Amino acid sequence: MADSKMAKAKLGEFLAAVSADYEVYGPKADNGVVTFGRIASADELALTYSNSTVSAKELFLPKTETVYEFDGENFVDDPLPEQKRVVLGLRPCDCRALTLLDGTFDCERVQDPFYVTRRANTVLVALACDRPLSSCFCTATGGDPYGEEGVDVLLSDEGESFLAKAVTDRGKDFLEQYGKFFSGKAAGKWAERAKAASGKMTCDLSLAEVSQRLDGLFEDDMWERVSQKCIGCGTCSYLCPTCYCFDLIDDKTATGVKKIRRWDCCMFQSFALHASGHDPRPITAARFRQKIMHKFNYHPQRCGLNSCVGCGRCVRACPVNLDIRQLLGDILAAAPSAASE
Amino acid sequence: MSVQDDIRQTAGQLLADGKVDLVIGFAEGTLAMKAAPCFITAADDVEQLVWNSFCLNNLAVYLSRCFTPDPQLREPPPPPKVAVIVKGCDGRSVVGLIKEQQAPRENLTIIAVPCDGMLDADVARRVLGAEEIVAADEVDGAVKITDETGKETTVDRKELLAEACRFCTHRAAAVYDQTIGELPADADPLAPDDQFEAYCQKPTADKWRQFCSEISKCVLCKACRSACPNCYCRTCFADQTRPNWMGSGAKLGDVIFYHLGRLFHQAGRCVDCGACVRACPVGVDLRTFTYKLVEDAEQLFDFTPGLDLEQAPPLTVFAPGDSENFITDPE
Repeated sequence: MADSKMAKAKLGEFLAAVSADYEVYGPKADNGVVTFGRIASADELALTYSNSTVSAKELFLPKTETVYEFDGENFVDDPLPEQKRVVLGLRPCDCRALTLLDGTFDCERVQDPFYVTRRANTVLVALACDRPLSSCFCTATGGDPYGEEGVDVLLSDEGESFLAKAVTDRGKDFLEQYGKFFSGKAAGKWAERAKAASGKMTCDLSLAEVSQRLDGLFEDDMWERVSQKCIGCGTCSYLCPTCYCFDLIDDKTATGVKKIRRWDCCMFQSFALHASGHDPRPITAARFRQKIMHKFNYHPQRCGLNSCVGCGRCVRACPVNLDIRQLLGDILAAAPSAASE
Repeated sequence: MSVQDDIRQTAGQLLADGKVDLVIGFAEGTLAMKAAPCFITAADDVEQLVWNSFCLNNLAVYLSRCFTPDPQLREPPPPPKVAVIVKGCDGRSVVGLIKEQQAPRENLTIIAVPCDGMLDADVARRVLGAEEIVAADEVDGAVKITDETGKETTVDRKELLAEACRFCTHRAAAVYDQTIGELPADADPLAPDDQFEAYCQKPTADKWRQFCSEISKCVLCKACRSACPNCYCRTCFADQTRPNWMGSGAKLGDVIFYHLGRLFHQAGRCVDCGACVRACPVGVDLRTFTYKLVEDAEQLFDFTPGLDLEQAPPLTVFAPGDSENFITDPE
């Protein structure tokens, strides 16, 4: 059962069975835009996409969520999201991204109750990538189109059926729970399919050394140059599966306030603005430097890994074609600066 | 001489003569069907400038940024002298910015270039049902497109025009200092705007429903604002905290508030360049609503923005004959 297959014809029946026990989420397409949402039946699932437009991050860090409410007399904690969920059809890059988010929201110093509860209650059934896009660069960041980091069950689309492989114990239990939909042995095919997929990756960067290179570049005059065309729109962060910065804001209610956590972005003008009116990052160049340094210098120094899984969403969606691959490539290609030697 | 060569030569000359400090134009993009805005400050670098069918961005968006100095500087440098390459829509936005005192006319060199409508990779994806466009090659109005599977399809360029370009009537800038190539005359839209007409025909309640349903896709990144040349406020109302005009975004009402606020500020100013729609990461159709404002400005005030430096914007002046129907009889 740890390694088997399911005929696609059974998908509807399988979903109905899973829906009886779990809330099911998956990719849905609307006019070419693929986002994750609640799935009621198999025909709502858009499984042939290369990657979703918006990452699956929002299922764990919603765009907005209530942290607590003050009703005028008492503080009331918002109930924890206890429902059991299955996310079906997300890509290995999005699963890997969640392991990076764990480093921030579920680590020694911090256990964010909402995030931790959602992670604990969610089975990730990922769909391996057989058609990576030319803008994908997961292999440059240490990922893989068939990567298993963060994945509970990995599926591979074989045409008429899905190969299924349990990666974690939770995945194994899940496949056993719905064992009647899976049959046969699929062992042996995985390595071949994974190799074919990674062979399609076109980006030959290796980002392992970027962190070191960035060490001496904080004061470099490159930042103004490379960020000149940036319009600070935040599209990159809003689509990014590893960007997690948030803002806490009070929404008035009839008798009190709700404390709301919502997505924020270091490219926004208001992001670093202090209550005093002072802004330590008053220009785009400073904000852009923060974004790159956080992902490729501070994060690897604190958590050991770049905060980027190479999903390519920022590359595809940037309205001014500020291509992070090009920037990182230039940083790697440049001779190490005197400061970092 | 090709338009591209002419752009390079003109830019090189302006920089070499010290007439401008900066030329804003387009460079080769890193993705198929994309050119990228670029900033040239040395005559030696003009070879980076390109001109092709993918120069979609409205470059006027950078002007107010050019003339806003770093607030940290005790003594801001004098405002730069800037040359900007403009299509019809960019040119009209530049006029608006000059009128609204966001770009000093005397510091600008407006270089008008001919535009036959720009092609949009997202439109190409939809037309071909492709996930990704990996190559596009245009010859005499036919575009050979390669998708992610390697399949090649040749499509008439008209099929691939960005949405705003399909309905564009003012293809060339009306105010400029230099021209390159032959500027095209005003033209009729390529096709009737059925989607917009369908919206206009709806009763008010249905219009509102369409607006709410479209806006409900919004993730509130506000990229539409960042991409819009008209949205130059030093602090956007949506970002202000004292007072805090907007809710957190947790309720649809917050999202509606943001969009209505932004849209209303566009009345009589929007030039229908489509930058907001293209910047939206989740495909919200903002154009139906911004175009309604364009049409209202035309029908109610006989005003088309961005065509001359003299005519006052309709919402800044009162005339006894101003239409009041939109107040007294909104249906």
